Amino acid sequence: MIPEIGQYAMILALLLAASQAFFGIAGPWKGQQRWMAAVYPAVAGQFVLLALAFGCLIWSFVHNDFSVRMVAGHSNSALPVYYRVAAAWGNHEGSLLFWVFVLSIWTLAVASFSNTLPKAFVARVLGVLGIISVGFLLFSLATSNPFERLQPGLPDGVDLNPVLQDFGLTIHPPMLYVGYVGFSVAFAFACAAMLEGKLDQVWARWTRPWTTVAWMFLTTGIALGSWWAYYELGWGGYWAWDPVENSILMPWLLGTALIHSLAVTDKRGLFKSWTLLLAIMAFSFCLLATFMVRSGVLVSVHSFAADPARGIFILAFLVLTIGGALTLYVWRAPMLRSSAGFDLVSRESFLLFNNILLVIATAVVFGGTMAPFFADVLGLGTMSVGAPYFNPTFMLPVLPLLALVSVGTFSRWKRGALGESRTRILGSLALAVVLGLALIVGIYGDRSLLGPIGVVLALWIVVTSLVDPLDRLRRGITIPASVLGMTLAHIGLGVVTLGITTMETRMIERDVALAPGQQIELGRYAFRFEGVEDVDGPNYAATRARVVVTHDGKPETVLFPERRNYLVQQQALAEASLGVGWKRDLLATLGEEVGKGAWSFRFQVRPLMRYVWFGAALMSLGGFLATLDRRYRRRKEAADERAAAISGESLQGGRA
Amino acid sequence: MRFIAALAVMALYSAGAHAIDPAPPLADPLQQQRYLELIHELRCLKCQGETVADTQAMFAADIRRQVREMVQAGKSNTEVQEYMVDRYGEVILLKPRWSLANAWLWLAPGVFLLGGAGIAWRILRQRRALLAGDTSEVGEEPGRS
Amino acid sequence: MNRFALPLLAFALLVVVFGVSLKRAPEKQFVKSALIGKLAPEFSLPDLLTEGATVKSATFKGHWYLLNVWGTWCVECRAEHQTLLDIQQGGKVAVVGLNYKDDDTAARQWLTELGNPYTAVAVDREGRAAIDYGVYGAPESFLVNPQGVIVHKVVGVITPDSWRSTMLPLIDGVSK
Repeated sequence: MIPEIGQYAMILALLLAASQAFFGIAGPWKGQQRWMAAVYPAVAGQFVLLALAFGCLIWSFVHNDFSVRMVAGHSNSALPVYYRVAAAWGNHEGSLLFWVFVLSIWTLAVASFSNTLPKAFVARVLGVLGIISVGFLLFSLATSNPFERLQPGLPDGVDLNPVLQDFGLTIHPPMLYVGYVGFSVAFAFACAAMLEGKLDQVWARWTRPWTTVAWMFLTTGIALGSWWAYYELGWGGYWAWDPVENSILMPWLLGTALIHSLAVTDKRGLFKSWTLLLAIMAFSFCLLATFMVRSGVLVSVHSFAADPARGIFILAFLVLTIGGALTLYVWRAPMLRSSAGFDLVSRESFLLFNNILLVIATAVVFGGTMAPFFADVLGLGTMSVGAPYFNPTFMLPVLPLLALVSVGTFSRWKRGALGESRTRILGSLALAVVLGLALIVGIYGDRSLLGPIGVVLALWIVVTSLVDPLDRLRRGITIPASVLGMTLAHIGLGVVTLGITTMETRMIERDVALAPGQQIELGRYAFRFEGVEDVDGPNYAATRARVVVTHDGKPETVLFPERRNYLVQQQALAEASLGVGWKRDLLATLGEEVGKGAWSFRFQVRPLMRYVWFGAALMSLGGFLATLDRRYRRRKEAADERAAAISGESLQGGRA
Repeated sequence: MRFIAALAVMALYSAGAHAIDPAPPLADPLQQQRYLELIHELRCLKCQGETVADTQAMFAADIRRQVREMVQAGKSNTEVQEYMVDRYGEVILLKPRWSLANAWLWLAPGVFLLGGAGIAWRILRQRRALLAGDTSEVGEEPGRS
Repeated sequence: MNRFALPLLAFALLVVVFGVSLKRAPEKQFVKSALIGKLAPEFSLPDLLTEGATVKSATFKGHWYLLNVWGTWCVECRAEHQTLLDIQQGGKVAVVGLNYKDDDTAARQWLTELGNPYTAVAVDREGRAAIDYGVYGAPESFLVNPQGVIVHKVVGVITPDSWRSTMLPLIDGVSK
């Protein structure tokens, strides 16, 4: 009964989404005020219905209704309740329902917070969001129904894949989805502007906070996923350049570019058509990522073709949304010319470099990820593209990008040589070099090339990010939230860079077989194996090893890596044990028994690993702070405009 | 349908027993270095998107042993890679080789960068030329042409 | 042409590629064998069924044979077994087994229980011959012609259907 209620709720939501799309687009077109007004109840109703549908799905999982195909295939009565709830979105069908549910939340938020915006514009935005919702609901109902019943039902489910039974994984996909779906708002704003044929600086100001919030969720989602892979997959990898990871990275890179180009459009009315294109592309890549991960096309062409109905539907949907938006773009973009100028050395030109380099980085990832697919489709044979390709090629655009962050921080809007900032640029660079040398020579004793470059660039970014806020503090000027957010996000970028560079160049890893009582040394750390014991979990049986770690002979920590056997799925899984710290992470993974009481292990010492997650958290927090800026929440636009320009953020540009 | 979902899950979270190559390191540190490099660039065909260095799959263990023996026997990196490609095809290399069919992949990043530089240069020149006639303040909509 | 049309053009191209991938019949092989059209690698391995004897690949030259990689640990091999028995019965080709990383006793037991489709079974306990053949799992099968050239490879289970529709025509086409 409950699953059927969910099913009906989805069908009704589809009808409401269709009316939302129709009235939202047709209302402003025909100038019908009442049509436009009809969009709002549709939005609210859709949210209620989808919340109900998603609730029904969770109810089915929690109450072990194994007559529902999804529940039978992805849950088990022995599974803890917490994971049963999470199992609701741990599969293709459930995650699609979750996707539209999140879309309905975003849509509701847009409808609620946009009362200062022109009615016709908001109607169009909601209309475009309605079209996306229709597409997803149709796809879900027609090809991937989460409420499909099994005849007869199963007595018990086949359990959730053991690797998915983890806290990090229960929140990582939702975060990503909230981010993905969030970019649909920027996309809808872009489409509405194109439908209207009007795009000004105010438009950019409306779009900025929505984009930043979506970006924040995406950043958090990626960091969580990487963190999860790091400790759950058991071999210490945090980024494998796996097609799935790449598909998530691409919208993030484009979203980052969009945030920066929106700033230019907001401040100077420049890069308008480019901003539009980025908004379309960022969302397109979110769509591609959702479908590709879920359809398995990135794993192999064949799984995509295995279910042609889904493939054709996805393709048709992409053609309609992305193709439609790009067609509008061909028509409208040429009208968006700006006569604004800027100097060679200006904030605008640095943000231009930022955008070009980020798009190149996206293109590199795209090319590498899709190459095996293209080769296969074109009959050129099979090939693989992995980390050994991405690591060096991704650096090509990213190293200059990191280098330009620092210089760009000192640039001013519109015009001006770096002249007066030269001392600061050189000063901060010198400081970064000194700090970097101290770190490298003093602590690392390093001789590699990439390490020092990365470390110095990272520290330079951190140092220069602080210059402007400190300057304002010194002069007693309030720091607007957007500047604070930007500063924090840039520091986060520096911290991530520092963490990754240090870790990649200074990590020690050893695979070894140890008998109880034996130990192995990794640098100044020694790992001693003291024996194994059997432990039982709720739905697994495990062997747990005890490993004592010492640093220069002094006790440091004790690690308990496990090897779990999940009973229902008959799957063995290594559960790594982590000793975390600000200086380094220690990691032990238990392998197999190799005879005579000896076990195989993988031990790792990963310096500054924490900084990768910490930096990502700073970036997200920066994004959050930036959206709190007063400029985005003002009611009377024009009048307050100038006042704000004198006090708030534009000081940055006006500083002489 | 379930199969696709399972594939997706496998792709996302390629499960199974990970890691660990309990064989002792090679006596010659240079050979050990090359051995590690090589196994990190070979793909475990039995797994999803993992190197043979990072999985305990039977296939990966056999490949590691083969690489180890070939390195010990003084074979060069290219010889080891060719040996693998002869038997498994290009798909086993995570780092595509330089060939006519793959050239675009290796050249693309450089071409993108040059193209990007060209575009940036054009825009910068255009905008600098416009600077003289642009009287708008920062934060203000400049007159449209 | 309008430069603002370039994104649409690129997207259209991508759609075409996706469309083509949908059209194409799903290929079963993830790794296309690098060995097709090449001489089957030689091996000389212990015989599973006769203690002390060896199985040499050279023995089979001059006739069509199907080299089947299997192991008792492999679940799918059980599903394939009946087809192999039928193929042996058909008499078109000899079926040669390559027992891959297995336990000898378990393997013999398997053949006693399920019947023996193999003319000979070579034991590859360490998986070295398997590497020469580019094997990465079981079951895998290689169809070798009288000249000793591999003409076809199957990754996964041979079904009566795939045998009839792809492999038999290969054999008949040449031997006619």
